[in-house]
Parts: sequence; C-alpha cells; structure tokens
Amino acid sequence: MIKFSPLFAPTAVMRYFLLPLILYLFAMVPVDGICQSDTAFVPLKENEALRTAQLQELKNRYQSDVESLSGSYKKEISNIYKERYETLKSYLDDSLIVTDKTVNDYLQAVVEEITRNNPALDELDARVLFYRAWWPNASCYGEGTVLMNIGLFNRLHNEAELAFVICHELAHQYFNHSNAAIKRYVETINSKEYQQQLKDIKNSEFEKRKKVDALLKSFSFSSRTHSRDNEGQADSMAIVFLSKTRYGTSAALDCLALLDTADRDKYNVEANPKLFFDFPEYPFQQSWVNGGISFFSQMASLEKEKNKALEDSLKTHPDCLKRIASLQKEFTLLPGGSRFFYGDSAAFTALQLRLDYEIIDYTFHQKNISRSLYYSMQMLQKLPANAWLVSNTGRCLNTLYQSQKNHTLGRVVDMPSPDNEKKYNDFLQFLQEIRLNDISAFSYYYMRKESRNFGGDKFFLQTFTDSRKNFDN
Amino acid sequence: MRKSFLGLTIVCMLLTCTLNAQQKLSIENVYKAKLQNSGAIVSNNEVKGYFLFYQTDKVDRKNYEYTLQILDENLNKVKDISFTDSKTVELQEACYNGSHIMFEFYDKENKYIEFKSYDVSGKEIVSYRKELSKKTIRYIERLKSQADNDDVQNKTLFPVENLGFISCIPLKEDGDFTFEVNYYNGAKKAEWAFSPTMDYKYEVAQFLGNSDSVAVFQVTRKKALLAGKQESWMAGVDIFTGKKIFDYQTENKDKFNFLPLNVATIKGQNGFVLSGPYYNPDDNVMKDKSLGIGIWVMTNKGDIVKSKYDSWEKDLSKFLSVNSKGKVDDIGYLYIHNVVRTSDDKIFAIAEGYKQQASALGIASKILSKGSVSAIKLKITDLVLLEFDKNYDLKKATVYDKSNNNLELPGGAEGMGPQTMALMAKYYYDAFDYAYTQVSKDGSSFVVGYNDYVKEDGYKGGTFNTLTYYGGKITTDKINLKSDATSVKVLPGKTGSVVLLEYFRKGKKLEIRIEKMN
Repeated sequence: MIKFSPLFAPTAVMRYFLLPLILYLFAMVPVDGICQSDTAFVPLKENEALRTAQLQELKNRYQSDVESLSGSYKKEISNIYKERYETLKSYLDDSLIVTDKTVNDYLQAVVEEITRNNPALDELDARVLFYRAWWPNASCYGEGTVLMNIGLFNRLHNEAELAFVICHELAHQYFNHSNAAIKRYVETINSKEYQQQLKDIKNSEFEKRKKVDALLKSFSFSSRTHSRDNEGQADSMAIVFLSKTRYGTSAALDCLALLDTADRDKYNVEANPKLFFDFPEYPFQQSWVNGGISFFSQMASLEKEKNKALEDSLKTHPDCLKRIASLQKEFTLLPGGSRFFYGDSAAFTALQLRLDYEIIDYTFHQKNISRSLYYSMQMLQKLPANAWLVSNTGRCLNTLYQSQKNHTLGRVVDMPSPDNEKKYNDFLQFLQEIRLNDISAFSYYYMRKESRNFGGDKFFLQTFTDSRKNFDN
Repeated sequence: MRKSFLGLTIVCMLLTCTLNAQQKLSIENVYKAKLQNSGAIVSNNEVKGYFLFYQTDKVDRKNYEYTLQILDENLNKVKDISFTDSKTVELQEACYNGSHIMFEFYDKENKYIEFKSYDVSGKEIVSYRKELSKKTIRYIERLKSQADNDDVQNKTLFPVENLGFISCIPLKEDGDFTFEVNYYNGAKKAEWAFSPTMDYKYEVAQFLGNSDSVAVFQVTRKKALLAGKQESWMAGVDIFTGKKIFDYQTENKDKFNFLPLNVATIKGQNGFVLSGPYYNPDDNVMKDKSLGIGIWVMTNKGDIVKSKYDSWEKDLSKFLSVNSKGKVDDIGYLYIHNVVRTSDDKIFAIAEGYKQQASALGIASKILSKGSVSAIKLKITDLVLLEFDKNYDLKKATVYDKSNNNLELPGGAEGMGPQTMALMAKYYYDAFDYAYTQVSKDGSSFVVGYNDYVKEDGYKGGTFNTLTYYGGKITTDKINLKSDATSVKVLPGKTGSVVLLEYFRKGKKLEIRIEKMN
C-alpha cells in the first residue's frame, strides 16, 4: 500500500470521506503559513515526528530489501542499496524533504485518491514526499520513495496533472524498474564477457581510450534503451492508474506538454536589474549588462548543437512530443474521470504560491544566493507590493556584499555557464560585472526607496539596517 | 604560460562514466587520461579562458592521441579538441585574438615548434611548423628555465586583435643568437616571416604590441657575445606584408637613451605611444640606473612626434623624497613592470622598489667557507604607482607598503650593479612580488596583482594583493593565503578576479573558485 506516516494515516473506512474534506478545507481556510496576503510569509514548519517516522520507514525498507537479496551479486547490489539509503536519509537529515503537516497532508490526499482506486498499488509500500528542489523533476528511487520536486509541482496547472506525475512514478515502482536496472548493471559489469573486454583493453598497448569509449558507448546505449522503454511503460500504466481515479486523464497530455517547456522559469521574465537598481543618486550603468556573447559561449553553443544527436540517443526519457503521441492511442480506451480539482483550485494555487516563497527562502538558507535573488526579482515583477520579497532582495544583496568582501562570493553565487537558462545566465553575468560598492549602493538605495511602503515590517527594518551599515562602511 | 593547476579536478573529467566492481576490473583501473599541463588562454594580458592538455591515448610507438580541453573564463568546459601527434610534443602557450585561438606546441626530441589555430567551431584553420636546429633547442631550453612564472603575459605568441597572431621565436644560427617573427592570419591563411639581417652576434626581440598596421619590437643587440655594449633598438614590421618599416637604435634617436617596455594606441589616431625608463645617452640600459620614465608618441613610420621625460630627481621628488642618485628614500630604485594607458586618458606606471644591501648571510658564508653566497643581496621593497595625465606630466605617485623581500645572490654577484641584479631578479629568479597587470578590453579599468607577507594581530602569513583602477579610483584588496585549507594558491583570473585554489588535506578536497577582487 501507499505509505502514509503513521501519525496521519487515515483508516480505510475514513479515507473515502476524508479526501474531499481535506481538499475542501484546504481550499476554504488559509492554512497556517500559506500566504493569501501579499506581505506575510512564514517558512514551513519542520515536523520532527513525521521526519523521525520517515527515517524509520526508510531504514526498515532498506534492511528488508537487503535481506531479500540472493544470488551471485548480493554484496554488490546491497552496496548500491546502501548508497541509495544514505542519500535519502541525508535528504531527511538536511531538511530537503518537506515535513510540514499541512503541506504533506495535501499531497497525501492526492496520493490517497490514486491508491484507493488502484488496489494493485497497495503492495508497493511507497511514500510520496515533497522535495525542496527548484528544478522541475520527480523521481522514483525504487525502494518505495517517490520525490516530487517543488520546482515541478509549482509549474503544474492542476491537481490532475499532479496525480498523473505521481501515477507515473508509482508505475516505475510497480514495475520495479529501478531495482531491475541496478541488477542489470551489476550483472553486466561483472559478466564474463564484460570483464574479458576490460582485460583485453588492459593488456593492449595501444588505443586503450578508443576501446574503452566503444565499450562504454555500447553499455550506455543498451541501458538508455531500457530506460526509454521503461518511460513508455510507466506513461501507459500511469494512464491506467489515473483513469481509475476521478481525475481527468487528459491532464496527462497537458502535463507532458508542460514538461516539454519545463526548462523555462515559472515566472518567465528577465530579472531586469535596471528596473530595481536605477536611482537618481546612483544611476544604472549599461556596461553592467552589456556583456555580449563571448567567443567561448559561441563555442559551447556550437558544441552543444553538434552533440545534440548523441545526447538525444543517450537521453533516458524520450521526447515529450513522442510520449504524447504514444499516449493519445490509450485515450479512446481509457476515458477516466473528468475532474481537475477536488477542492477549490484556489487551494492548489495558494499552495504553489506558498512553495514559491519556500524555494526562495530555502535557496537563501542553502547559500545559493544568486538563485534566491533571481527568483525574488522575477516574482517581484508580478507581486511588487510584497514586503517579504523586497526584504529578501535586500537580504540577498547584503549577503552578496559580505561574501564579496570576504572573498567567498564564489561559494554563494552560480557562475555563468552554457548550461544555464539564458535569463538566469544574463543575471549571473550582471553579478560578475558589478563591484563591491555597487552592491552596497543597490541595497541601500533600493531599501530606502521601499521604506516608504514597508517601514513597519520587522524583516524589512532589520534588512534595511544591515544595508545602511554596509553602505556607510 | 605553463601551470599545473586544476590537476586534481581533472582526473575524471574525460571519463564520463566510472564503473566499479570489487575484486574485478573496472574502467578506472584499465584506463586513465594523463594531464600534461594547463594554463590560461590570454588576449592582451586578459584571461579569456583556460586549457587543459591531456595525453588521452597511445596510438602507436611514436604517436599519442592528445585532447585539448578548452574552458571558458568561468571554468566551464566548452570544447574538447583531439588530435594525434608525436609522443614528445608539449603545449607551450595559448592565446586568443577575438576570433580565433592559437596554440604553440614544442617538440624537443623532433626539433620543431608548431602553431595551430582553431575557429569558433573548433576546426583547425592554420598549422605552421618551424624546424629547429640542435643549438636553437639548447637555447630555447635555457630560456624556458628562466621564464617560468605566473605572469599573464605570453612569452612568444601574441594576438593581433581580429587579424591574426604573431610569434617571436628565439633562434641560434651559425653561432649567432637571433630571432624570427612569424605572422599567421587565422581566417585568410596569410603568412609572412621576418628575420633580422644585421651583423650582430646577439639579438633578442620582445614583441611590445601593435598599432593598426605596425607590429613593434624592442630588440637588444650586441656586436660580440662576451664584450661590447648592449644596445637597445626598436623595430617596426608591417602587419599586412611583413616588410620592415623601421629598425633603429633608441639611444641615438632623441636626447636620452630609452628602453621601451610598452606600446599603447590612442583611439581615433594612427600611430602608437611607447613608454619605459630612460637613461643618459652613454649609459648601458642593462647596467645603469634609469633617470626616470620616458614617453614617445610615434607615427606608424617610426618617427617621434613628441617625447616627454619625467625624471625621478625633479618630477618624482615633488611627490616622494628622492636623493641625488635618483633613488627614492627607503624604497630604492624603481623597476617599471608595466605601463597602462586607460580610456580616460591617464597613464599609469606600475613600479617596484629595489636596493642593494650587504648580506649578513653572504658575509658569514665568505668568512666561514669562502662560500657560494654573495656578500651583496637585493632587497625588494614597496610597490609604487605613478600616474600621468594625457600630456604625460607626472601627477601622482603612491607608495603601497609591503614587507621587504631579500634575494640572496650567488658568489661573484658583488660586481654587478643594482640594475643588473634587478633584471636577474625579474627574469631569472622571479623574485619581485609583482605578479601581473590586467587591463579591461575597453581600457576603463585595470588590476595589478602582487604578493606580500604580513605580520598583523590575528594573521601572520602570505597575502595576495590587488590595486584596482575602476571608475576613476584606485581601490586595494587582499586575500590571506593562510586559511582553513591546507594550502591556498592564487592565479590570475578574468579581469578583476582571481582563481583561488584551496586544497583541504582532510577529505582530499580541492576547491577551485573564481573570486572578484574589491
């Protein structure tokens, strides 16, 4: 069965009635910390009891998985299981997993709708959790854990899309894709044939690299082909699971179309530094944003284009458009439900907004200041009257100032890179162009300008005091 | 410029997949790429990127496969270029001219230097090989051992912005020390070579820079190897044709003997501006003390339009206390490392003080064992920044205090003057604390990097310091080289930044990051 935390697991009888109730209540009442207003934001609460319970469940599952191993490569496989367990444990230890009761209850209510209508999922012993990651992704670890990145959840249009993503990841667990891949990998690299090839390479005097490349390529193509097949199988099964719920199966197609553009930011606007940091006393300089395209950036783009064919053939996930075409065949047979929400869509939107702030706050505490500032500046263009976002902008600038002063800026900002999204890259280039005095001036003049609106806000006042201190330094 | 940084990070960069199996063979223990060297890709003293040069495969008994990994200024990997070459080839230098990159390879065993240029797609555009004689190889080997430091200036390969590249190779032919200049136009494959034709036994050329049409070289010449005065010459070669435009002795050209160190161009004007120390007409620029800093405004034909001499004794004394020997009190003589012209029409000379002193170690060594240490040592003192206006009048001189640095010299150095000692300190011992000067492309800012050692409350150890000219102001900054890390190294980064390498023995972690200087 899908695992709920024992503290919040509803009884079988109550589940049917609880789900709509939870979703309804979520829609009607602004939950603690979820800001309907433009100014209040309180970080999510850590629920120690839930975290402890999850840690225990992870451990129990790891131990039982290892105990169930048999065959020639038991030790090798159990080593990989151990690594996987330790990774997930570190996520819980480092608060990368959301344990806030209200937010978790919301997610479990959607999971409950899926499992209640799909008894086949009862045996999986799975747990679906929110993962504090800004990038759009969801993942099934193969030992029952499914992580839903906030960065993906926040881009979805409705609950039905969320349900499809969960169904897709649970389908991976249902088919045991991850553990089968681990077994296949261990068997391959320990096989007589593979070991003989390595031995031949070791004993050869010339062209070792060429031979290693050929071996790796054949291994990668074979494992990627399996992964792609697995994705298709998980998509199809997800539709089957979803069709048994009251959610509309058309959400699957919308969701895949969304994933096709998921590399774009949710607030798809330029950070636009000039909008924020142009003051009569300290005019914005065009040279800060006139970086242009360097020879090496062009070189990287051409290289990326050149390698695209190989990248495509090595991608674990087939293109979303191909997945959509393939899924469309299923719909005539599986019409499913028609609902996109159980509660009011406002609850869903409120949770997304709540988690938008959470990501900004969390990236700040994770010392990824460039990303926290970038998201704040994007969001402020939609919500200009938000005291918390304004204060966080000042807070990020003050941290950048202190870090640059101490020569540790490189630890808190991302560097421009050909792999970044263009808008974020432009913003990072701007951060590279400005100097220490510019940062303190931006922070001071920006906060002084905004003090007319937010002078009474405690977080704002504390940040403004720091800005002034840096500016006077 | 050769450096072996980033070494620990690259171990697995080429191995995209590492597979482990206990007691079994894995990719890691059958194959490893070997890093030969690494360094910066430079354009007019600005770091534009980095290269990592790997030996990636043995093709046959004589040839290896090499992979040249190119990183951008932010240390992102952008391109791998693989090729097969002799197993003894070394990568010497790399530079970028705004549209192409050129690499200089050197093969001591097979006796050649080869230049290869690549376009933005990584396609090889030009490949030029110069065969070298045995004597030239010995000469180059000797020069290499003397010129290994962390400066961002290239030694033999230079970019001509958006046009091509110039190489200046030292040669030994028929017993004479000479040189050859080559030009490669990456886009059009145009090439020319220029060799001096004068009757001198010793000729060493240093590329100073170029105007819109002329490549300018400072040439040191001697009639005889063991005797005779060292002469300072200046040569100009047409960039487009390779024809000599001028070649004359700078000591007879104007009222003072002049040693040009630097070429700058003036926006919107033809010609160029030379700057460097000047001497009395009969002085030997290698031995005698300089009188001050001279500036020549030149036409592309090599004619002097205007000359200006700011003397240590008269002009510098307005700002600093200078004695009758032209020696700045407490600082000693000034060695000019570089001259920078900024886009707001200011000229800055970056200089470092030095003076000769008795060496207690050398004297004790002589008394006790007729030892090999000289009784005279060279003391490297403070950094001095001289600021001139657009009329080349000295406007400001600022001393940046740093700890003195003593250079003990080998026995027999007593007979040298302080100026010869300073040249040895610069080119043989790399003993000056000055590290580099970087100028931004638009000339609006520059950064000077230098090392120091401090004993302060709470910190005792090495520091890396910068003077930054930005927005019309000079700011200073420093990084302590002693931290929680087991070792810290600072390397030149993109303009205004440094690359910090911190190695933590605990955890065997190497942290590499780019930090902006304040």
